[in-house]
Amino acid sequence: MIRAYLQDLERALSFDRALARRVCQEAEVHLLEAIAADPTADRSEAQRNAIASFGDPKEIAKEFAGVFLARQARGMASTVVFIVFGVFLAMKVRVEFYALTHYTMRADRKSVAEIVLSIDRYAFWTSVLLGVAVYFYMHRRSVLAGPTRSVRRTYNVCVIATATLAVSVVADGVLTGLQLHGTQLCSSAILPMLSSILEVAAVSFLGIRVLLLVQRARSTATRAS
Amino acid sequence: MQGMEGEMLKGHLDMIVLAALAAGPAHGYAIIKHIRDKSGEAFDLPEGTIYPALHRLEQSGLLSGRWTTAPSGRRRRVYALTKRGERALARQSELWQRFATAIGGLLAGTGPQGNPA
Repeated sequence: MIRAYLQDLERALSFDRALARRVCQEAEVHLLEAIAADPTADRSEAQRNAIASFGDPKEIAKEFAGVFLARQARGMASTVVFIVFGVFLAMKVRVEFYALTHYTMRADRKSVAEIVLSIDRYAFWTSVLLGVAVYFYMHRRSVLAGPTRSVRRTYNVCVIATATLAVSVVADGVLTGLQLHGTQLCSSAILPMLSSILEVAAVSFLGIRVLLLVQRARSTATRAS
Repeated sequence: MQGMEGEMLKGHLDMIVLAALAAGPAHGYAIIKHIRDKSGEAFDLPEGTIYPALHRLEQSGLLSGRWTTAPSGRRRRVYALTKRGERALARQSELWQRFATAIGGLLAGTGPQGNPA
């Protein structure tokens, strides 16, 4: 009877295998202690009592899903901040490099570059603001409060922050293209190109990670409901 | 004493668990037993719901957990309050006292025959 109950519990917690193993181990000890403490002479009845007192596996899994999703959301917020910081560094390196090597943009491209630059700037600072805000929001949330709503907000804001960062990185790529197009491709062009490629790689990684986490969160919420 | 409403109890479960662990480190079953005994069996939640709370509090750094071997030879996880947990409990306890005093004041004289005027 206990074995069947633990299997149900493990199945209900299948969104996180490691967690399921740990919880089942704790639940088994709990149930065995409850059975040992039960004054009923009939062992089967004692087992039934222990299982009834422990509760419905689906209800327990639902509670754990909330904890799991909150942990994922915290991780997602940290990743967003980390990648935004990485993109910022790559941009800084490129700008400093242009200044050091006296790279100048052709005059006929400057008006287009200014428009792209303003898009880049607004998109980037929006992602910084959203990333930092969601990081502090998620890390300062009281654990004594229910996490569901804050988790949903965190996921949404992370998706928006990633999208704005992607806009900024695309704009960066356009600016780098405008800067380098037509100039002789020599070794000094490697650094701006490399930093742009790194930005694209970082934001692609973030986008995939955010999408996977959102998908996983959805399937966890569905499975636990 | 009558059992408290489940939802009301759930809202304060973290504080109840922290308070139970103020007496010293314990494993899940012992925590439940302590809560039940100390509350005069008023707190009657499904026992399994304590584990998500323990897990959440451990993740938040308010509790620490470690596996130990019981005299029976079974491995069980024992939880203890961390310094952060002690501070959180003190804060929650103070808030709760203020809240209880305020509600007590509001409810005074509002029995079936009570009249605030």
